[in-house]
Amino acid sequence: MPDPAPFPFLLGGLDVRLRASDADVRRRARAGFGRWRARDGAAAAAGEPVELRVSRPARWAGARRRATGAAWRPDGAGGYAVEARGFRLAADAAARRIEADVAPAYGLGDFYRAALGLALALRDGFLLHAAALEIPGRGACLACGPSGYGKTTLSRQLPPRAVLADDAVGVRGLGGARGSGWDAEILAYPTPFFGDYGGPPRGLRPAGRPVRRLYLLSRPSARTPRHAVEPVRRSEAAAAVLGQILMAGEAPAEVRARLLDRAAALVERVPVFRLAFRPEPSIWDFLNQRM
Amino acid sequence: MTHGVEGEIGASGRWRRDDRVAWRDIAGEALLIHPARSLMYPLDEVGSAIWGLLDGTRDAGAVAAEIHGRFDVEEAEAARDVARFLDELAEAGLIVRT
Repeated sequence: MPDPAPFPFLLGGLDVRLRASDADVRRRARAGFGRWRARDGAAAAAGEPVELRVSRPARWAGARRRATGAAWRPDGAGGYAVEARGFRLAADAAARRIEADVAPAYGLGDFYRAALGLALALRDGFLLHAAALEIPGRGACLACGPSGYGKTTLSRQLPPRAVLADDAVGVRGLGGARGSGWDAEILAYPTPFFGDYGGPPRGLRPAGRPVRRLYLLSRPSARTPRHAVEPVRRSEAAAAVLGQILMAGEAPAEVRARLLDRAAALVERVPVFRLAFRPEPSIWDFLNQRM
Repeated sequence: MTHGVEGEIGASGRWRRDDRVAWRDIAGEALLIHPARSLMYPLDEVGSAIWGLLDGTRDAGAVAAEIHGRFDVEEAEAARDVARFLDELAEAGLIVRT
């Protein structure tokens, strides 16, 4: 059977070329990622493509014992074999090629999200559990926090044109003189992985925006009297960021060390504040005034 | 693990950072990651200074003397704080005796 043509899309700033022998996987990708289809210029800026080969075996004898998380195993050539409850994959060291089997009943969105987290970690970034908003002409603010800390609630108070993400943001360091890029520009990329906000707002472009502020969301409280920001110690901020990077806790030590470097670079280069807010539209003006 | 006297462990011997601990100095503040448990320990300025001194060449007294010299803290208070902090680091498995 001939290899089907790849479906190219920009996922969290990466130029992903999806190949799937399963027609249903291809159909779902076209339906779900249509607006994320890579345009020539944007794909070139994304760097070397990630070839993502996805199979859905009719029978699944995967790791049923693993309820959550993913186990990484070095493949001896710099790459990794990763096994999770609903998928297993093999990736080379630079995530140029990822081959995956996804269990029939496992959500493809969850798989793509995990695959992106892995690819960004192996490349030059990470997938951050955060909301992101765009201040026109200025750049992006990230609002980072665990589930239940108000990422979607914050996003719902913003004009839809400002919402880049309510749950998962690709963060990459690009253009650095030392190759890693984290000493130059740090960019935030929307992803298709929205939470309770429902989905990407109309017209959302998948391109990266320079990160200008990082907010660590405070635990929501009905007694929060007004919007407020306060400074955060850098070491605390780096710990908070690292704690919200997808797959960071499960990654092997050498990958985790790279993620630690990037989290440290982010909080050193970008002003960080703790943010308490009331769920009111005035938060938009409040954040605008602080850019 | 408990200790009968506060500072009993930290006050004696020389200590060094466990080589397996991943850590970064971020604008003068250290963030430590436990090698096995993935627990993170963000340290303040004084804690980071102590951490930076734990290279295996100093005992608790020498560390306390350095802290007394660098920060506005009484000598006795520095000694108590350093011993207590070394206790915590040792209990967390972040430092080892040389």
